[in-house]
Amino acid sequence: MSVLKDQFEDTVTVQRVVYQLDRGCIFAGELSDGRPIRVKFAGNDTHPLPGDTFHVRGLVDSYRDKFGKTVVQINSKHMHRVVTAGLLLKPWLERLPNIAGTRADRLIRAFGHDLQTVLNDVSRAHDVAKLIEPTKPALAAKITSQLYAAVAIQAGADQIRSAELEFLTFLETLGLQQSRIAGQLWRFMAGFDAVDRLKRNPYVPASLMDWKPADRIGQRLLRAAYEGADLQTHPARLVGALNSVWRDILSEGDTAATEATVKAQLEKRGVDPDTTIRLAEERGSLRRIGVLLRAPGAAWIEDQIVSALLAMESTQPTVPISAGQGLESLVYDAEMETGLTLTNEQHGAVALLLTLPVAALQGGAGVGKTTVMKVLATCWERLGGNVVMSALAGKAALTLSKGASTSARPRLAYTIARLIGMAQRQALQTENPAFKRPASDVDFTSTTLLVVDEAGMLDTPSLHKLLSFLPEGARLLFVGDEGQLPPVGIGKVFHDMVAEGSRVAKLTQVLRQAADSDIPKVSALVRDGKVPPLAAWSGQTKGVFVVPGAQIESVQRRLRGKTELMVIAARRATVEAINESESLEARNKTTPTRRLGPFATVAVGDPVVAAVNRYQDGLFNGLLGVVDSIASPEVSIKWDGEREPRSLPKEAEADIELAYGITCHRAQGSSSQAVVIVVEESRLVTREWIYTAITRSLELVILVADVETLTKGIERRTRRTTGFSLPARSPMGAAHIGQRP
Amino acid sequence: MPRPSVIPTVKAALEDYLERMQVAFLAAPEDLRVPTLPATPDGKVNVRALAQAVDLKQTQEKYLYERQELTTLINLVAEGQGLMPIGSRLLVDAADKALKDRMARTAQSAKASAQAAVEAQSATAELLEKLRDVVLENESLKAQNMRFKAQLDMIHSGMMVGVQD
Repeated sequence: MSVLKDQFEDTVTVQRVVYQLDRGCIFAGELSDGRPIRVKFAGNDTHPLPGDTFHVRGLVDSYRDKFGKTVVQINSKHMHRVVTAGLLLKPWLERLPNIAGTRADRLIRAFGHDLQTVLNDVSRAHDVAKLIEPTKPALAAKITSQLYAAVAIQAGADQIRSAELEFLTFLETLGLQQSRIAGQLWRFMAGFDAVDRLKRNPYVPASLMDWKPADRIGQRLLRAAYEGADLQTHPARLVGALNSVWRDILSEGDTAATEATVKAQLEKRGVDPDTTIRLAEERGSLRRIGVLLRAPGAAWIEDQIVSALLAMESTQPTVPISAGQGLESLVYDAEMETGLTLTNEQHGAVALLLTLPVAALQGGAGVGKTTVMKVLATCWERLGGNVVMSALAGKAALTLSKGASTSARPRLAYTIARLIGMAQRQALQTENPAFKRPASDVDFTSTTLLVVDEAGMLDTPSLHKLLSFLPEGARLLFVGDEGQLPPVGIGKVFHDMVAEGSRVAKLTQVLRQAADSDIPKVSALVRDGKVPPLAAWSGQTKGVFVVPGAQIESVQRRLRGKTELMVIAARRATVEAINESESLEARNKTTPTRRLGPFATVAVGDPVVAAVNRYQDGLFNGLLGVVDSIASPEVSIKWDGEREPRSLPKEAEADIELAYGITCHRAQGSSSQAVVIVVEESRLVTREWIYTAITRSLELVILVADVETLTKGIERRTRRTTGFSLPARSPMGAAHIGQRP
Repeated sequence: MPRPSVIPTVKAALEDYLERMQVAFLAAPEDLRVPTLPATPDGKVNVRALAQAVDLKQTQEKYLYERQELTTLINLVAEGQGLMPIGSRLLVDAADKALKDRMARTAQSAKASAQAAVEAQSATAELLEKLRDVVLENESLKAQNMRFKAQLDMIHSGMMVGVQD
């Protein structure tokens, strides 16, 4: 081991994998002299197995295990698989069937460092067989054949690993140090000729990383390939610059931009905008819609969605919908069945939505969208169809399940990601009837009405994926609020459909909260861009109030533990600071804690949030809960909407975060009795952000803000430009709809 | 003190038995060879009969199914004799099976005599050479697959990244 200050660089053989995440892993390993070591690696696409060997570079640290024992831990961002050779073959040999233990030892003892050569030379097979089992030659011959075949397969895999190593080394010589980007680039260039492929495609890095370093790499590759050429105007560079512009535009969630915006961005990258646009046009890689230019990948997804939705509308109805009086009676009967009395507006919405194969229900906070969904679902089921309900976030799905069910007819709602999984499995089973899927999976049929709640948060790629699995004849209803934030991901199909207007039922009459709360009134003002007059908070339990920024901590102290509380902030750093200060405040020096992962060290009573979907463990991104116990080997958490606390599987621990403070996007699917909103001076704080945050509250909202920041926030808009364009639907005799029979 | 495991004893008995059966199998003229391991009517290795042949108690029979080190050993010989292995899941896919069959056939041609051993060795060498080619082609296709998937994932994130092959 070479140790320079606290630097580490050596070869480590994996003994046991402790954690495996998408972007990293932790494993217990052994150095070549047999000393134990623990490695924590942050980077993509590395899935170690016991017996694998890695060259690890990193910083020496230590880790204290649950028995209090301290072991050396290497925190690494640079780790390459080592091609196994000589003595390093031992752990690999031991994994092979019929070789393990004594036979592996015999081979190592006999051949030592030459073992690899021997196992590649079939003329030595006889010697190997004799060592493997001297007294049973027939059996030994069979095991030896198996061993030689395994070595041949391993050699092939090693060759590709060598190619990867060569490629990553080449990237280092180009000055690319970020292992995440290097790993991504390998995926694009993978193969025995990866380096040559990169030379042929010198500007692919511009799609994956910031322009400046990508341009440096591109120019170096170009210079080597075309000595003397004008690198500045090389077509590869121009195309790279345009891709880099799209990368930035997409990172904001936009899928299109005006030509002027694109040109300004190109100019910043030091290429001639007109030549670049002309070149893209000549190559057929530029898509336009009206005055907008479209990001090519996103444009393809959006157009696929338009085609799928139009196909839905042109499919012969599988569930017959009668018009006129029959339709009105159907809605009326469903109201009777559910025991609900709809307002005229709600009744009209149900009747209209029943006639539309693809539709959107738009409504702000408290207008009774869930009530409409419940009656609509009842109508659809009375007609013989089946209803599948979904929401993007876990808690929203739980709330919808409760809101849309009756004791006679429970309706489960699923998260979109879970539904995609189910639809994928159903498609697999259709292809291969022997494929088994869980009994709890829903069936999508030609009579399915898929209801997507909180649809304003649904990003375009997720919708594309979902649509690609829906069977012919199925119908789709989006339910959401265009005043809320658009999705975290790219696009805004729901907002665009509402803006287009020909498939939309709108609810405007506020029913919830109206009697005893200012929340609907205040949120409506914010939605319209007006700064609401707010009183200073002095301990009230209902209403919307303001406190100065200095009181951020004292407000939380007064409320926490006395009511259900959600604290929302925009900046990641602010959320982390709240989590740190509030969790420290809740504990004393002797409070037992437990480290769950890089994002959370928890104590009993801490609020936590699941940060990814883990359907196998019943966890959803945005699901809130409270730590119930940390005493047993597994932490126990009482999740929202569940009666009993349950154990958190070890492998899920790293996906849990503290939730004393959360971001607005994570809060989108949830609600709370009291909500404290930290209104910071940040481009993230917009009218839509403030509106979304306020509407999370059921009773009390406290804005931590000064008037100027609040005013600026409400003036600032979340703008998103997309190229999604669903043609208007021709009216189909809907004039009768909207009146009670 | 924990009881010593019975597995090493079972394994030793099993290896002796398999060795005897394999020798008997190879001893027959090539065109007259029939499996010497006990088989079920549908051509699978008969684990119950095998358990009896190595004097296992009925309660120990499960080890032959459950312990991987025993299962792989039986399957190694069983497949060479043209019998279906324990647990059909072990047949990874048709291509693997075809390759295994070819290896098994080559092994079957091995004679006890030195001449036959040399022939068998060259046949194995040739087969291994082919295996190496197939493995390289497979790695190359896996890499190609990875490249396409990277491009597809990129499209789903909104970008279109063309890569000249």
